[in-house]
Amino acid sequence: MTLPKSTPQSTPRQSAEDLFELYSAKIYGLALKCGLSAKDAEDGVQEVFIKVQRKLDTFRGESALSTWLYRVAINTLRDHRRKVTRYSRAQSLTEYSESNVVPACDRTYSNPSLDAERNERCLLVRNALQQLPEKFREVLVLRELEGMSYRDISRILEVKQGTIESRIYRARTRLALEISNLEGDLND
Amino acid sequence: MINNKQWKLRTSAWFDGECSDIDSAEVRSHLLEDNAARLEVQQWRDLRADLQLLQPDAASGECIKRMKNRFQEGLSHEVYAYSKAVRWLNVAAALLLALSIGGWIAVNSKAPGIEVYAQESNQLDQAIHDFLSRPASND
Repeated sequence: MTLPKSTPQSTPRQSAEDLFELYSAKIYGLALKCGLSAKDAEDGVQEVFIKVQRKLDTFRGESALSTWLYRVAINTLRDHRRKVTRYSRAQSLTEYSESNVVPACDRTYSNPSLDAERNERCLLVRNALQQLPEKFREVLVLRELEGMSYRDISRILEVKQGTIESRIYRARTRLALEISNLEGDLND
Repeated sequence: MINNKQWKLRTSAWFDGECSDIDSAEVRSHLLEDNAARLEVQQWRDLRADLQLLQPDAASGECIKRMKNRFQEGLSHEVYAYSKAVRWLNVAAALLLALSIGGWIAVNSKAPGIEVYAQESNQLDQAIHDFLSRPASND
């Protein structure tokens, strides 16, 4: 995915409701990719757009509106994820897991024999991704799952492009290690 | 001379399609020579395939509708909270104004009242003396 190239000069003033219409589905997808459950992702989307509503006046047009919105979304979802993690620690695990289904890892494929295998692999990869430090997880989600360019990622995270390049490399190395550790645990 | 770490970073960028044409050509010839680098690229390919398993389905219409309703509720709550804050601000400003005006009036205008002046003691003595020295009335 490449962020729209619209510049602030060419973008008419939009309300938070207009932005919700345009981006809510994408932000919901982003929340799921960041590791939130379907329910938490919906909460996250609401928080993002309420924040957009509050902050829209402060958008000064130094970047494209979509870049600004993704920046607000990433920061808000990061906070929301921390809140949810604290909450899930406080709750009993079974109580929380009832509403914590991971949609991507609960699929039914055309070939039923593949279901369990793929869903199991999906959970393993998800768990490995969750083990990564936030900064590594975020770049991998934006690069591999959102398909963004290094330039867009650097604008969203407000980090130099060279840093993004090295962070993605380190994130991949780390993820491969985490997956291999989890596979090892399963085989033991 | 490019060191091993730089090669890894450049190869990773090439893998993501983020290299210039010249850099891409260099990375490709490096990969032909370096078996470990080829293995690493293969590992990244597997990782990419694994990560695609996490790609969620698009949000359903029902889900979008639910989120929209919640968002609109949230917006009205925001507007209500804002107007409530403005109302309290107005009340506070009116109270402050009333207190300021009251204070100004109290300082600048004294209400008329009975003023009592003390007499000098010698004048009082003289007045009493004069009073007592009056001849008695014939009535």
